[in-house]
This record gives sequence, structure tokens and C-alpha cells, in this order.
Amino acid sequence: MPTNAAAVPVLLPLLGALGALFVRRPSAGRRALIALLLTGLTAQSLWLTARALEAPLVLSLGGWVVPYGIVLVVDPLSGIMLCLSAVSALATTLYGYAAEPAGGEHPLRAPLFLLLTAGVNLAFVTGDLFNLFVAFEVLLLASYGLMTLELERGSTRRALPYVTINLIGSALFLCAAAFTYSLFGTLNFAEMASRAPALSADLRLHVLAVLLVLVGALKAGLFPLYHWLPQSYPVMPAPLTAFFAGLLTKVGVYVLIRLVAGVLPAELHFLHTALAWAGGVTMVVGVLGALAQDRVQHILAYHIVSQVGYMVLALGLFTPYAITAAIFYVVHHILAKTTLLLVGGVVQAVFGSDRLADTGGLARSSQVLSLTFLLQALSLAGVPPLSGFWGKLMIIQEGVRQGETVLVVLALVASLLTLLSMLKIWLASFWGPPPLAHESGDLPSEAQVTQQSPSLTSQTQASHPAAPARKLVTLTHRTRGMIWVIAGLTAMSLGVGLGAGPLVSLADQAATRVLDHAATLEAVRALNRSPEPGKHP
Amino acid sequence: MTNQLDTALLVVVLTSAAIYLCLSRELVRSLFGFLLLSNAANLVVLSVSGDPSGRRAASVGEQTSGYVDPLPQALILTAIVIGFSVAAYLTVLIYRTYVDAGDGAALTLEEPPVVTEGGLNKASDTNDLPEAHGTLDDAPQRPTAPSGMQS
Repeated sequence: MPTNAAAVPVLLPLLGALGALFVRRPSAGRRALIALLLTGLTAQSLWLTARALEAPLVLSLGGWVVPYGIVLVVDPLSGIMLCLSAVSALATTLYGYAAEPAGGEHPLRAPLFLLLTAGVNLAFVTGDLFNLFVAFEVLLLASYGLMTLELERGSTRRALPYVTINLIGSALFLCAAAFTYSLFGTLNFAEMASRAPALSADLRLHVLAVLLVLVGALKAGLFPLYHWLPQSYPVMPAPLTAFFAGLLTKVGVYVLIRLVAGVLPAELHFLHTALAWAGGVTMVVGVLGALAQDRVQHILAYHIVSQVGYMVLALGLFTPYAITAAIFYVVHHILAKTTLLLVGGVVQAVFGSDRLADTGGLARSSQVLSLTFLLQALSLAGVPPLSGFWGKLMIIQEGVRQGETVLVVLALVASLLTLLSMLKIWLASFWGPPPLAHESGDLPSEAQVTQQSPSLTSQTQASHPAAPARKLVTLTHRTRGMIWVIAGLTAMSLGVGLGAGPLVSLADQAATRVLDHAATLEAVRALNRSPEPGKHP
Repeated sequence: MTNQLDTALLVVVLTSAAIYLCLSRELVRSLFGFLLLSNAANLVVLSVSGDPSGRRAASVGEQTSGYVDPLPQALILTAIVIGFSVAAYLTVLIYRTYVDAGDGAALTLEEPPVVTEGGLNKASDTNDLPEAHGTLDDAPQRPTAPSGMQS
């Protein structure tokens, strides 16, 4: 049904970004307004999803006749992605507020972050390929800004891999869009999907499909295009890393799902096989990379790569059930990954470093933090009844059904190795002994580490006789605030795991709608019949 | 669609030059490489509207045939604007990298910046404010600067 509400997820953060740019000084008031705006965005996204379940919400910007103007389409998949983006933007923003006083926040962080959210949301609601390119550029420019904004002096070079790879990706995308227009005569997803079956034996379509998938794979960090990701994400402040890690690679996954399942014809079997195998290799390579790291954020960054492999494997299996699994996995992953990287941020804040050797003893300091980390780590590894288990179960079921034994084994091995690398963090940072006292020189002043008197540490010393002075890590007021945000996200993640039934049926509806090209086309074409295209209720 | 071999050749030349420049170790050369690459991509978009010889530019008029397809030209405008802004960003980034390296600051690739509670604030006070890059982008980094500029 035509509605102007489809543009709100883009306009709201965009206006917020403009407003935040005018109020330069980051005060408590500005913070409260931004938090309010993101809460509103979450509520609106939920409402949009509920309405999109009935029929896709469509809007032709400027009221142009459909295949020529810019069309926004919110179907259940877009709705789910919008909700996840709003929730993760809200959570990481609140975490950032807890982590730093209002005066310590960089004045440009909030406007750029809102611009990034607007770009991400535009990528989710857009109904044509060129507008998707524009959305990518908006979110990329904002992310370049965020990545370099708070880099320490002398380390700008570290942003270069990210910028470089995305510049190449953009040029590739632009060429792909041009070829699409010359082949299909339209850039509208729904129109493209209706014309694609006639072209499915055309070699040009095959080349174009590979090009489009390459662009999506680059954004998603798929093997062999993932090297930029673990290098660049951990350079940012923790809340930004968490948002990037949770959402930005998933924009790539979303684009892959949208293009491969929603636009390109189902006959491109070579493409599906290639995607499945790329996913399989990505899972294993990513997790092996994680095992080799010795920093919390780096381990987690490699896990992003590994987890993207599962989603792409599911997409490559290419049945309605497998695409349902991919969508469910995206929901699970965004919540779990954001939480884990925020936990990594707490580790950084408490110890002043996220090197595993410099951390320890968190299990005794904060049971809540330990519990959330343990739950999310087990969820990522796929332990029932947590959310990751259901996603993996569905993918493996479908793999077995299709007789892809090697891929199923790869998925199981990667899952075990995930558990192993998570245990690495758990053993060092949570169960491990607190760092030695002489390392306190590089500890931040706010994270108070109290020196225990010998009588109190007798228990610690019994187990570590070589350590003369261990410290008990106590958490500050700010750290507690950060942990509350993490606990909230974990509760949602737990809800996804325990309420998997209804969520899978939601993902199933979303997958059905993506695959139902005719219904989307019908909804988009209906725009031409509405009496006054520019004035919808 | 008529043959546009000349455009295709130009795209090939531009792209190869761009790849050659991008592979250079010198950052300014790779900046020029990216400029060429985005121009090559724009040219691809332009070529999609077809061979313009013997056809009119799209305009409001009597005739309804013989036009060049105007949509790719609308797309290319957007792409040029985006390419320009990315080039501006890249120029600043590379300049900043040079300034940082020139001042003898460590260019280690191993040590990520330590983000701590309140640490960023301190870092921007101590590390980020020497006047070497004062002309670029540090005005918003200085907590006091915005208020001073506004009042």
C-alpha cells in the first residue's frame, strides 16, 4: 500500500544529523534528544514491520511514474532489518553515553553516526539499484568520517584499507548499475525481477550477476574479500566498532539476499553453488583467523567474517527454508555480535587494553558482565537453546537435505572452533588472574583497580604463588552503565533464542515475500494507479 | 544499439592507468588512480545512454523520437557529485597521513589506539592538538573551539 511512512526511517536520522550539526556542543540535552529520536525510530520501524506483514509499503518519491522515479519499498525483510538497525543504533548510542561524559564526546560523532544510520536505513528501504548505490555512498562517507574522526595522531594510515577497498567497491557497483540498466532497461528491483526470467540463459546476465554478487560480497566481507575487515573495525571507539560490526557487513548480506533471491532468476545455479562454497570457506578461514589473535576486539572482528559465512552459505543453498535460516541468522547475529563487541569495549575500558595478557579477573568483579558474555559466546558457537543454535540448526538441516556433506562438516567444525576461540577470551579475561600490579601504569585513572592487602589475596595467591601483588578489578559507575546496556541487548538476544518459533515464522514470511517477485511488482505498479501519487495518507 | 568501440577503448585505457596508479606505494599516486577509476566508471554509465551521433539531447519539444536516453545522464550527475566528495575526503586523509608521518610520529600498524573511559578526551587534549594540522579539521576536536566560534 502506498504510504509516506516508508520514508521516515531515512528522514528521521537525516534530520537528526542536521540538527546535531547545528547544536555543536555535545551537551546532555543533545544526547537526550538523540536518544529520544532513536527510540522513536525503533518504534516506527516496529510499526512499519507490522504493517509490511500485511502488504508491502511502497512510496514513489516525488510521485514519478514507477519504473523511472525512485521507489521505496518496505517488505517484511526490510522491516526486520530496519528494526535491527534502530535497536543497535540506540543501544550503541546509549553505551557511548555511559562510556563518556557529555563533554568528552567528539562533537561530530553524533551527526556522522545519525547520517550513517540514515544511509543504512536507505539501503534497507530502497527499491531500485541506483538508489542502493547512493545509500551505500551515504553510509560509506559517514563511516569513513567516523573511522578517522577519533583516530590517534599518526594512525590515520590504519583507515586506509577500509577506504581503499570501499572505493574500488563503489566503482565496481557503479559499473554494475550501468550494465544493469543497459541489460534490463530499468533499475527498479521489481521490474528487473519481472524481466529477469526471459534473460536467464543470457551470458550477459550471468556476468552481471557475478558483478553484483561481488559488490555485495565485498561489503559483507566474504572470502576472499575479507582482509580489510579485521584490520579496520577495531581501530574505532568500542560503540562504533560494535555498530559497524553488527550492522555494516549485514548490509552486504542483506543486499546479497535481496539481489540473489529477490531480483536475479532462480536458475543461476552456478552462482548459488559459488556462494555456498564461498560461505563455507569464509566460516573456516574467519574462525582460524580468530584463533590466531591475542586481542579481544580482533578475535571478535574475525568472528564477524566467520559468521557472515553461515548466512551466505544459507543463501547459497537457495531454498525458501534456507533463506528463512539466513534471515533468522542475521537477526541473531546482529544482536549477539553487537553485544560481544560492547563487552570487548568494557574490557578495554577496565584494563586500558584488550590484549588478552593484560586482562583477567572480570568474572569475580562483575557477574552480570560475565553472564552476558558467556551467554552470547555460547550463542555464537551454537549451544541450545540460545539464538545461534536455531540458526545453525536450520542451515545444517537444509545442508543435509541437499546432500552437501562437506559444507555441513565445515559448518560444524567452524562452530566448534568458534567455541574454542571464545573460550580463549573467557579463560583469559574472565577466569584468568587479574593483571599484575606493575602494569598499572597504563591503566586509566577512572577504572579503579584497588590493591588488595596480602590477607585478602590469600586465596588468589594460593593458586598463583608466583604473583606477588594481584589486583581485584572494581568497576566504576560508568562501567556499570555500559554493562546495563549490554544486559539489555543480551535479554533481547535471549528472547530471540527462547522465542525462536514465532521469529522463524516471521523470517519465513519475509523469505516468502522476497521470493514472491510478482506480489512486489504488483504493489509497486499499483503506485501508478493511485489518484494523487504525491499525496498519500 | 550502435557500436561504441571508442568509448570502450577509453574506459579500458582509463581503468588500466587507474589500476597501475593505485598499486603504487605512494599515496598521492593512488589518489590520482582513484580519480581516474571513478571517471572510468562514470564513462561506463554515460555510454549506456547510447551512441549520441545523430540524436538529440532530451528536451521539452515537439519531437518524441531520436532522443538520447536521459536517465543515465541523471545517474552520472549523482555519481560525479559522490565521486567528488569521496575525492575530497581522500585528499584530506592522505594529507593528514603525510603530516603525521612528517612529524616523526610513529606509523606502527600493529598498535591500535587504546580507547579507555575518558581516555579519548585526554588523547584529543594532549595528542591531537599540535598546530601542525591546525588548518585541517581539528576545530571540532577542540572542546572549547565551538563555543568560542559561536559566541
